[in-house]
Amino acid sequence: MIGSMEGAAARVNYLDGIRRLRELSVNDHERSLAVPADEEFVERGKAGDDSALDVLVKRHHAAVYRVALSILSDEGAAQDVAQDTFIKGFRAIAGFRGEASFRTWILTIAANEARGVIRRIGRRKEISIDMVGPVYSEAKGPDERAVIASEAARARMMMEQLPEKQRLAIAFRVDEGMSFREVGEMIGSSESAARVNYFHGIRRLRDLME
Amino acid sequence: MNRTKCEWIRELIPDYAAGRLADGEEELADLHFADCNECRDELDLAYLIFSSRAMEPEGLADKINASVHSRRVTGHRQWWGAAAAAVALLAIGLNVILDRSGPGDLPLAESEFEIESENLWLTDDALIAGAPMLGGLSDEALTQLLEELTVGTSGGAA
Repeated sequence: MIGSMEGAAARVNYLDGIRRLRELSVNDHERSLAVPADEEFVERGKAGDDSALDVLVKRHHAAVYRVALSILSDEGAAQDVAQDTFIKGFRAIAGFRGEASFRTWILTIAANEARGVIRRIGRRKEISIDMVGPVYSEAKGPDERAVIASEAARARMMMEQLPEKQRLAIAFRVDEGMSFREVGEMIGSSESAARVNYFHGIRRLRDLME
Repeated sequence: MNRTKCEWIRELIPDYAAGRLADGEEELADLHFADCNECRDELDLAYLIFSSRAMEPEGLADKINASVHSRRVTGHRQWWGAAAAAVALLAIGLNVILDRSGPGDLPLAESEFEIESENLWLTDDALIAGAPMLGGLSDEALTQLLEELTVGTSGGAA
């Protein structure tokens, strides 16, 4: 896959570089355990504290947007869905009982909203190369960075060739760190079916990348 | 490479690639990756996927918050409007119930617009309602009308 980077030294540089940038890219919420849990802000939001809802938006809007984008492949529509998701979610927040995490709950609303858009417009938009996100790479030289960026964009494009459930299972598991149980809830499958979809998708993606 | 260990590590690879593993787990995974090309290749792929994930547009959170706040304000206004309407309806309903449940000899309403008997039928209302206009008839005319009505009734009965 990364044939041009053969050799242990190149691999170590590659992994270390990406790891450093990856750590920079993971936001404070994901890294720190000291911040109050979502549930605290949910309770405050239920009591009418709008600033608590702002915090929930700040924490989860990126994931909500990406879930919508994974389903729609349309940046504008994904932004609209992200907006509608929080409006609908907060309107119904009094009924949120915490059986799932707030994150799972709001991402499920986002997925349902995005599917609703697909039902209305009839089909999913084709992904284009410029929709691929920024590639975190601190590889040593520009050539190496270019190779990694190109491979990353190719991987994301190849994901489009996978069946929807496999593609979404990979996106939700890798991008958002969902458990297989959560992935299953999102794609309408059992936990074990979500796991199978993920691993089949990864295997097929590896074949496509070779 | 031990198959069970590969399966265990492969479950962790997405979290490893995204930096979501605890330190101890990461060290164990590192040891495994040092010896297992298969899992390392899968890790490379997970890195590529994670590093190319879409970033949210700048200002999206602010846009969502503004939208949420404006909807909530509108929602509050609608709520107050609905509440006021509900209170008004309740007051009217209670008034009706109290009127019905009160003693029968109470006046229907102690309104400043008391109805006077001579004004019970206003001319136009009477015409609309089909009420007879007898006020302008002379005694003879009334007697004649009464006889006609009586004859008509008797004839009908016969």
